[in-house]
Amino acid sequence: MNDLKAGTKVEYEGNPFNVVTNQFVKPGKGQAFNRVRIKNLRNGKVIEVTFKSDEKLKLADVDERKMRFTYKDTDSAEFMDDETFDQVSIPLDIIGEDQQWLKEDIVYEVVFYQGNALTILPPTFMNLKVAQTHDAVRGDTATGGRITKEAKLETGAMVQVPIFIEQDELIQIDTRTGEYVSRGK
Amino acid sequence: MSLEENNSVRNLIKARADFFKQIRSFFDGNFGRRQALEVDTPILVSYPPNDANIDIMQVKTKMGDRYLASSPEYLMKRLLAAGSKDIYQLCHVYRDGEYGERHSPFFTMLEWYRLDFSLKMLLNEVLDLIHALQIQTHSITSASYRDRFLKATQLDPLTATSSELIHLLAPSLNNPETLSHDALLDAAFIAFVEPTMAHGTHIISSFLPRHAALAKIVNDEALRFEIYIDGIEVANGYEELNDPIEIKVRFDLWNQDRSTPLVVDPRFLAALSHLPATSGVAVGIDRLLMLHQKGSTLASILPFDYTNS
Repeated sequence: MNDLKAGTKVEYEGNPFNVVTNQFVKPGKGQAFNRVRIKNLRNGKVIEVTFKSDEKLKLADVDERKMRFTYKDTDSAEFMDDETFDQVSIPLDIIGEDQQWLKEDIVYEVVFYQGNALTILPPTFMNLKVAQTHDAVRGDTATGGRITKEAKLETGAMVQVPIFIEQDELIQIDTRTGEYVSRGK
Repeated sequence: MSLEENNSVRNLIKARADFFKQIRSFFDGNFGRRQALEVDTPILVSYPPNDANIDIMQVKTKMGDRYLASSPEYLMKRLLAAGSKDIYQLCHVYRDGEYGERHSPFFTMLEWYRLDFSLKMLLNEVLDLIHALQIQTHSITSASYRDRFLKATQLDPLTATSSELIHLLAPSLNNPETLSHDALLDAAFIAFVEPTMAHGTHIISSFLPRHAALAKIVNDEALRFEIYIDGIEVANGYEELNDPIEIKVRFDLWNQDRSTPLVVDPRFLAALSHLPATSGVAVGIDRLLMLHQKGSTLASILPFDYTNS
């Protein structure tokens, strides 16, 4: 157990997990254990499990491929591998909240577990067009010392933007937090 | 180098050198303290120490298999039996597979023995040394393993069954039903008792008989202590068993649980029976230095940790 590094993908109780932290613990003259925090790759939940140090966890059959989003169907999104031209159809309920970052022709990281798509990772920073916003009005919210207003992006995401941003402008968003970063480039 | 930025190499090796100087002066017979002689027993030894939970590093040599000592206990006890009187040793010891933020497969141990000291007298001397090394101890508590366990888990560790322990641990312990009773007690200790000792100085003043190793057992208590400072175990002391009959009983008992009998150095076994009344303690010097330097990992205070030595 003790050589399992953070970032290793392991299988635990039939599910794929990512190792977050791994701590070696041993009471004086006692049995050695590893206290491991692992993140479920299906639902993102982090759990803490203690293992005897001489136990072994199976490595999870997980691989990541860069794939280009081509179009969205009623209940799935279609992706294509630029190198092999493989096409993969991923159910929208697997993509979940990240649907709000789906833009045609953008390359995403697709995580596969035992050959099936498990999740997609959008680029951390994306340039997206403001599809709809209003002019600044009294009552716009102040966050972190600056006044912001709501904007709907071309992908459907609802974000807070500074009041000087106008409709059809390109802005840069941090997809991990959904926060406005800067005007787009 | 894995050194923290605020600790230049020079400062780090100076702090370490100062520690060694302080320790040697502590045993030099000053301030009404009895002098102890410094010894340096070989670390390459011909019999593996017997400790169920320590993996020994084996060394192939042209003279045959040898082992790296996980503690200088065996040879120091042979010196005591041969009439050395009070002795101390500062040395590197080796334990296979033990690495983490507060563990290293090699570390510097200070071990010493005092003739005619009770466990309590030795405990007080260890605290004196810790103070001499300018390490703060605050809000000191002292309680037995049994009392601490009982308070933290509501289970009496002397009588708790394996299934009670499994029930306690099941939510966050993998395959608890595959663990031995001893391992379940250890798992409960690290999950429930250690967190209660995360801040301040805490003494475990006695242990369960099953944790005695070579400590005397009196009234169902092993005469053994441990000191934790801010959640870090820094010292492990024993009032040493020296009754030849009890020693034989203890080794026979250990052998009952093993498929192959222990291979014990016969010279060590013979020495145990001639051991004068003594208490001995092992102190982790790197961990004390880490506390002194307010570091959070051993790597931050070791000029060379196991990944770059």
